Amino acid sequence: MLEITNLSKTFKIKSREIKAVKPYDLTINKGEVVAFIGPNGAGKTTSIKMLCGLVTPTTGNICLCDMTISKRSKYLSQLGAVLEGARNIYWRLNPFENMEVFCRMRGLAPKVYLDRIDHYIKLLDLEKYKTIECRYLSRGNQQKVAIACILALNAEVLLLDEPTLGLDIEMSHRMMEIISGEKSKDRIIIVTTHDMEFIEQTVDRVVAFKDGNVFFKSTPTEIISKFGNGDNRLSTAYLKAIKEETL
Amino acid sequence: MKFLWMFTSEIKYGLIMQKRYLFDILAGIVNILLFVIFIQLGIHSLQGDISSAALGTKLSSVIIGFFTFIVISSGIMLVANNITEGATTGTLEQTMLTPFGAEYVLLSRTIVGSVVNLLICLILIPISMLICRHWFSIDIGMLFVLLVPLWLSCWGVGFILGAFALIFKRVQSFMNLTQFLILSLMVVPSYPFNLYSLLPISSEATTMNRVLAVGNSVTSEWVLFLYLHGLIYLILGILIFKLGERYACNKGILGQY
Repeated sequence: MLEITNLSKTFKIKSREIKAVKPYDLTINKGEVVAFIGPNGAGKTTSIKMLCGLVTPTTGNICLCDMTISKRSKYLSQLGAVLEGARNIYWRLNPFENMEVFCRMRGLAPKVYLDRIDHYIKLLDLEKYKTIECRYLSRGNQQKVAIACILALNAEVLLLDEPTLGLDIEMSHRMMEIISGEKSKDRIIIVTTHDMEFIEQTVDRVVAFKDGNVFFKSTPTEIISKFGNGDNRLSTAYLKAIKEETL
Repeated sequence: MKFLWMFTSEIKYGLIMQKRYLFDILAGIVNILLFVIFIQLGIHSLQGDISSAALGTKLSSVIIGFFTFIVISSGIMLVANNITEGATTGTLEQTMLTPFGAEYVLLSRTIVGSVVNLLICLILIPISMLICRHWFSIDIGMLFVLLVPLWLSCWGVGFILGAFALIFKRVQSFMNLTQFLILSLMVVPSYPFNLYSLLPISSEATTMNRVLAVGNSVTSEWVLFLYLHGLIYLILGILIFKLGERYACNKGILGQY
C-alpha cells in the first residue's frame, strides 16, 4: 500500500511563492491503477516527482508498506519511473543495452533480469529493434523502450508519465493490456495522462488536479454517472467536473 | 554484490560509449599530439640558451606536466559533464533514482572514464617522446602510486563542479575557467609541506612532476599525506554534491536543462 499524507509543494521563485501542489492525502492499494489528470501546470508531474524523491515535498509524507521515502535507498529499490518518456533513455545504446543498464543501476544480477528483458522486448514488439541504437528509432518506439526499461525492473510501484504519448493506436491498446497485466501482478501503478480512452479502459481511480488542488478522487464510472450528459463519455464528464471543480 | 553489478555495467557501457564516440576520441588524440608538437617547437627554440641536460629535464617536465594536466582536467570535468549531458538527454533523473545514490553511479562512471583517459595518455606519452626526440624512463609503479591520490583529489573537485552543474546546468564557461585554476594549482610550491599543500590537486601534481620527470624521491609519510589529502577532498566533494542535490530537489530543478 502507498500512503500519501498531507503532501504539498511550494516553490519559492525570487520573492514569489508558487503553490504547485496543495496538501492532499491519498492511499493506493496493491493492484490498483491510479491516473493523475488535469490541465497543464496543475501539479501532476510535481506530484509524480515527489513520489520518486526528485522533488522534496514542502509538507507531508510518503510511505510504501511502512517504509517512508526518507529511507531513500530501500524506497527507490521498489520504484520504477518513466518521467519524460523518450528522453529518459540512453540514445547511443540499443533497447537491450538500455534495459540492462537500467537493471544494473538498480543492482540487479543478470540471472534475475535477462529473462525479463527478453519477455518485455517481445511484449512491446521491440525484437526487430533490439540491436539498433535508440537514436535511430521512432519516438513511439523510444517511448516503448523507456517503458520496457522500467517494467524489466520488476518494481512494486510504477510511475508512468504519459505512457501512451507518441504511441500508435494499436500500441496504445497493447499498452493498456500491458498495464492491466502488471496490475494483476499486484503492482501499484500511477500514470499521468490526458488519454481518456486509456483511463476508461485501464484505470481504477482518477485523481484530478487543478491549480495545485486535488479536487476529486473517483472511479471513471462515478465521474461519468455524476457529470456525464448521457453520452457515456469520460471526456465530457471530466470537462464538466473540472468546470464545477468539486465532486 | 549489488554495487558490483552496477559498477561492472558502468565499465561495460563506458567502453561501449567510447567505441560509439570514437570520432570524438580520435579528434582529442590529434588535438593532444598537435599540442605536443607545438610545445616541442617552442622548447627547441630555446635550445641555444640552455644546456642540453637542462633542456632534457625541461622536456621531461613539460611532457609529464602536460599529461598530468590532461589527467587532472579530465578527472575534474567527468562528473560535471556527466550531469550536464544527463540533464540534456533526460537520463539524469534515472541516475538520481538508483538506490545506491547518484554519487556512487557518477563516481563509477568517473573511475571508468579516468582509467580510459589514462590508457590513452599511456599510449600518447611514448609518441610524445618520439615527437620531442627526447626519451626518459617512467617508473610505472610509482606512477600508479601517485596517480590514485591525484585522482581522488580531482574527483572531489569534480563533484563540487557537479553540484554547480546540478543547480546551474550550463557550467561550461565556469569549467573553462577551471582550466586556468588547474594550471595555477599545478605550479604552486606545495612541496615540502606548507599552506599551499592543503590546496586541492597541487601537492599531488607537484609530487608527480618531482618524482616522474625530475627523478626525485619522496618519503612514505608524504605519500600517506597525499592519500589522506585526496580522500578528504573526495569526501568533501561528495558532501557538497549531496548539498547541491538537496538544493536542486527543493527547488525542483533536478534534470531540467
